[in-house]
This record gives sequence, structure tokens and C-alpha cells, in this order.
Amino acid sequence: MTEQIREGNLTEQQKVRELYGLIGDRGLYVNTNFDVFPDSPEELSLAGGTGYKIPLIQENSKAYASPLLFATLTSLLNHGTMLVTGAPGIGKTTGAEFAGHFFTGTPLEEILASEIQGHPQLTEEKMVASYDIGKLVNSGEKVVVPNRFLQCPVKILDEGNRTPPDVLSIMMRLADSGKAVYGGKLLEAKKGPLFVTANYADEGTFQFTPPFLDRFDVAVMVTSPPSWDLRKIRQRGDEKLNGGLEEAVKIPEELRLDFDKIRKEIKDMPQQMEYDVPQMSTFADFVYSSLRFTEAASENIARATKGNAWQINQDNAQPGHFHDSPFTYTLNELSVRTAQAMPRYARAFAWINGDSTVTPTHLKTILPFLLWHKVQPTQKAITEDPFYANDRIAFIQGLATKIETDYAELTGNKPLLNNYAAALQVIRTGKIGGKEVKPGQIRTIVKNATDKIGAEDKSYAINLAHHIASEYNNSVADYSAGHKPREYSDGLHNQSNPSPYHEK
Amino acid sequence: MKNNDYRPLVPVNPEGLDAVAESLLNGTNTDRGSESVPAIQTSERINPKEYIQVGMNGLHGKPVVISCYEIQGSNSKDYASAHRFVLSKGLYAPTPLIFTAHLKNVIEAQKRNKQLRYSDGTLLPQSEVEEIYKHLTTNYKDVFGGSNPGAWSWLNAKFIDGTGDNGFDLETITGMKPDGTFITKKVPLENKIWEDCFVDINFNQQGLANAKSVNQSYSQGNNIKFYHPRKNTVARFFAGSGRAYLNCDGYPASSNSSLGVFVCAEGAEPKNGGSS
Repeated sequence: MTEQIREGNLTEQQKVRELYGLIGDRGLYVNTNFDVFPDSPEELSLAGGTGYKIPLIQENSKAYASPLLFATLTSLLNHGTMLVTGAPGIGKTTGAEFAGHFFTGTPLEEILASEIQGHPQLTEEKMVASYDIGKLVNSGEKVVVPNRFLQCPVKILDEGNRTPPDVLSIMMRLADSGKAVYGGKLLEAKKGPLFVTANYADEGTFQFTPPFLDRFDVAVMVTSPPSWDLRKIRQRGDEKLNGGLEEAVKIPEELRLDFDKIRKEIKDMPQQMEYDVPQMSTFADFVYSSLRFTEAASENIARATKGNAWQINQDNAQPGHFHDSPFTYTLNELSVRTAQAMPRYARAFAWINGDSTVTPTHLKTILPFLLWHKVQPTQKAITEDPFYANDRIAFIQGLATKIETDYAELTGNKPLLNNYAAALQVIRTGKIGGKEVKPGQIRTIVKNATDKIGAEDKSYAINLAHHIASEYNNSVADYSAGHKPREYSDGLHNQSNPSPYHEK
Repeated sequence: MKNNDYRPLVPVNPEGLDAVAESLLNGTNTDRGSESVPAIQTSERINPKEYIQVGMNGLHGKPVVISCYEIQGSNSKDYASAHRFVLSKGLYAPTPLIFTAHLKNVIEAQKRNKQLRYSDGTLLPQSEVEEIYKHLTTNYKDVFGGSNPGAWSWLNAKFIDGTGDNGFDLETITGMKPDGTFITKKVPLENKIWEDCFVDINFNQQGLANAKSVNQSYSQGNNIKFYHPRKNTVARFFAGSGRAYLNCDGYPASSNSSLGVFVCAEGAEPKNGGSS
């Protein structure tokens, strides 16, 4: 233990990182199968042309194993939700238990006692609450008593996919809002993470539905530890041979966390800005819009979304105009829930990584773990790379690169951006160079800008043209309804209105 | 409906938007965005995603592309052997003119002032631009797996007796005869900087230094160290810890396990209506 730790001079960020290291040092969660690199690792090709590549961390950088990293981040956020998948017996549940214990300060015994084991007969009473039997029998009074699972800050449903979908709907609400209903009474769960583990499918499992999967902010595929990690795992002692782990799970007093402070620090992480636009949120929104559109759904731009393509099989639909846009690689779009989780986890990741600002790179690094369990590849994607059928992390990585290429193309296309931003500026200010323009002239500018942007023949250009039209419609609708014309202000950006960049 | 935000969905430089709006109003704006950039079909088979368009013609007068990194197998060779190695593959080592143009493109792309395109016309993701930028300006990685990280490459230039500046000519290798001897081209050397110093990222028509930097310490992406030509020396490019070099005083007989070659390919003659 360093002098700094003994003296208790650590920041919350340093304490979290100390705890993170301590879990590995004590052999509680050991897996050096690093798969998250904040700085792109150097990739070493194996000799013999096998195609395998080994990532090598950059100097002065960091590397993380996704199961522990995301269990940590999920534990630090309010009502974070995480799905942990993998083969049996490789530490899915114990990883969640230890992360929950160390990063929420909840005693391990309490976590274990409130943990639910998934099975086909799992009931609402077991998961949420029950009536006070004594009062019910003696006086007929229905008093709802929340159960331990709901009251424990760390909620773990082990082997969740052995639970029938109708019972899991309770869990869906819990994951969404931290609330549950029993006997007509709304119950609030204690703030803290929800972990659901799932073994790979066998004859005793149910398939998670897409709406259920969408509730999880993040998901990891736990791999078995490499052989060299087994020595360290053995070093912690064999609890079946020597008894419990009391010593190993003790949290040093100096490393007790102030969760409110941590959550505030994460929330306040500043973003890298460019021309007054926050870059990470902007890239997150671009990811969202890149997967939203589909030509198969409708010719009406308002209805041409994946969510609206429910009556057709997109894989068999007539080929559209845009063959290689990122949206052609996914069957579904991202939910608003996911759009909110992206910047939230990017902030938390930048915070734990010790960076001063959040950048698009933080988001891109963690994106596969936020999306792989939700985004379904099209047949086109799987044909392009058959590994995508199984390796969904690689699928999202490939997809993110395509989206990033589109983003680079767009941000480098100055003429297109100028037409777009000039039209927006005129709609907002009603002026050109300080001189008022008439409503008819604004309309002309909007039409000309839309025409030029639309001629770009890129799916992202459709989104920009649609944005201009929407803002114009919105401003005119305000005026037509009898409202006063807008109060115009100088500068490109209107600071007085609520901003979509202010996430929770 | 209220709650308008009006902020652009992507960062846009707000300067000059009034003029753009004016032209949109008057119908004089003819700008429909960026021209699509055609793929460069090279005569040699290359992986188009491993080569970048330089935006100029190469040694043989066709649009040239340059490899993202030094190619495997080109290291541990002296100047002549390295050139033989790449020429045997139908490729050639970049002249200082091609290489410095590429370096400048990468620096501008890293600053988001320019876009880089692969040989097939598609854009490089910004993350790849960053990788290449770091490789060309720092001791980022050794592509040969050795212990000397950073870009280390022979260039295609030898400084020999002649009639140009300081009595030198610039000799470029343009091909190889069946017996392995080189086909070369000589032109009078044009070089104004005759001291070893940091120079601006601004090069003359032979790709050599144009102006000494005001700042005589390394500033990543803003200058490089220039070693002026000596008699019978050759040009190399190095990026290492603390600086990048355009090294025109290299000994042709030297070799190193981390010193390889970036390579160039050029567009082929149009065939059956294809484009070059």
C-alpha cells in the first residue's frame, strides 16, 4: 500500500483504480484477456499467415478486460444495467458479485443473500415483493413487503435466460426505471447496478426478447481466462478447500468511495469541443442516425426508419439506392435508451481512464459493448464477413469503422456543411449579415440548401436536409400559431433553448 | 412545437456563412459538395486499402499512391538492395517530392483540413489518419516488430556531382534492367538550405526544404529536422523520439532491421474504357 493511500489523500478516481487493481491482485477476478484499449493497440500478426492478430498496448496507455471494466462502470452509475454472457464456470457471476461489492460498498453476504437464481418457476414474489403473511392472515390487511432483491443495491439475476419471458417483463421495468409494482403498489429499488448473467443456449434456456435485451446498457461476453491466469486464481486460495474469502474481500477503509461525488464527477466530465459543438455527443448522434434510416420501410422520410419496417423482411427487400451505407448492415435501429447510454458510458470510461475530456474515441472504444447484444446484422453483413454471425463484437467494430468513415467524409465536406449551416443560421436569426430577410426569402434559402444537400447522394445528406426542413417547419409552425417571432440572438448557437447534448 | 435548437448536427466553422446564405438566396451557389474522387487503378496488383492517394503524378506521369506503412520484407537492406526489392515487385520508392507531399497531406488531414483517400477512392477513417500521423511524426511503432519505433524509410534520391545548387545533381531511380542495374534520371539539384536545422513543412519542387523554421526545436506536425545533402549521400526519412527527419546525408551502404521502404504505385493506362 503506497504512502498516498495510507494517508488517505486519494481522489475518488484514484480510489476506484486502486480497487480495480486490488480485485486482480487478490485473485478475485483474474482475466488478462484484454479487449478494451483506449488507444488503438499495435496489432502483431502471427507468422505463418494464420490471420490471427495479437494486440499490443501503446506505451503509457491502459488496457482493460471488458467484464471487469464494464461491471465497474455499471456499478458506479445510477441503475446501470449489464448483461453478462458466456460459458458456465468461468466467473460471470463472481465477477459481478465482486465488482458490485467493491464498487458499491455493499457487503458480499448481502449481495449473495439477495441474488436470484433464474429458473422456470421463478415468481413475482421471489423477485419483487410479497404480502406480510401475518397481517394478511390476522387482519386481512394487504401490506406489501419488498424482498431483499429489490432492497439490495447490487441486484444479480443469475442464469436469467432460464426464466420465462413473462416473468422477465418485471425485470424489464426494473431495469428501465428502477421501479416495480406489486399488489398495485409502486416500489422503488435501491440505487445500484443490475447484473443479469446468461449461459449460452441449451435445452433449459429461453431466448431473451429484443425489448428485454435493449434494457441492458452494456453487455459482455466473458471468455475463459487464459492458462497463465490460473496460477493467480489458485493463489487466492481454494474456498472449497480452505473456507471463505473474508480477508480477500475486505475493502480498505482508505478506499471507501463517495458515490455521489463520483457520479457528479462523471456527469460533469467536459467534452472535447469543435466550433462550440461537443464532439463525442455529436458522434453518438451520428451513430444513431446512421443506423436509423432504411429505404425498405417507406418513401416518406418521416417513416423511413428501421422501426417502421416491421411488415417486411429487410433481407429480402428490393435493393435500395444506397448499397453500402452503414444502415444496410443492420436489421434494427438504436433505441433512445441506447442513445442515452452511449454518452453516459463514454463519460464514465473517460473518467476511469483518467482523461480530462471525453472524446469520440472513448465512445468508439466502448461502442461494441454497448451495441453487440442489440444490433442484428443483415444477411449482407454476414455474407461480407461470416465471422459476424458469431463474433458480434467484431461486427460492431466493423460497423463503427464504416460509420466513422462516413463521419470523416461529412465533416470534411465543407461545401455541404456550409450550405447546411448557412440555412440553419438564417432560420434561426432571420438575418443575413445583420440584415433582416423576409419569410419568403428564408423559404427560398431552405429550398435551395435542401436541393444542394440532397444532390450529395449520401444517406447522411438526407438526414441533414431533413433536419433543415424540420427546423424550418418548426419555426414557421411557432409563428403561425400566433406566437411572437423568435427572439433572435447573435452567434451561431442558441444557448437559451434546451440542448439535446445535455444528457442525463 | 417549440424547443428548437438550431445547432448543426456536426461541427461547422461559422465563418463565411453569411456569404453562403446570400448565394443560396440569389441562386448563385453552385456548390453541390465535394466531387467524388475516382479510384486509381494501378498497373500492379495492390491492396487498395493499404495505399493512399497522394494527389499528384508519380515518376511515370500517372496519379501516384503511396503505401500506408513501410512494406514487409523491405528492411535490413542497403539503398541499392532496398530499391531492387521494391522494383522487383513493380513498385518504387518515393522520391522526396512524393514523400513530403504525402507527409504534408497526412499532417493536414490530422488537423482536419484535408481528407485522405485510399487508392480505391474511399476515405480513411480519422482513426487511421491518426495512426499514420503518429507513425510519421513520433516514435509510435516499429512496423517490422523491432526496437526502433517510428517511420524509417529509404527515399529515392542520391546527391551526386553535377550542375545544380552547390554543384550537385539529384539522381532518381526510375526502373531496373533485367540484369539488375538501375535506370536513373539526373536533374540539377535545387536546394536552398545548406545547414542541418529544423525546417517548415513546406517543400520545393524536388521535395527538399524550403524554409528554416523560426522555432529551432521539434514541434510535431509543424516542422522536421533537415540534414542537407552531401556528396554521394542519399535521402531517408526517420521519425523517432522527439523529432522527425528528412535526412539527405544518408550512407547508401548502411542498413538496419528497422529501416525499410514506403512504396509507390501508379495508375495504369486506361483499358477497355476503364479509368486511370
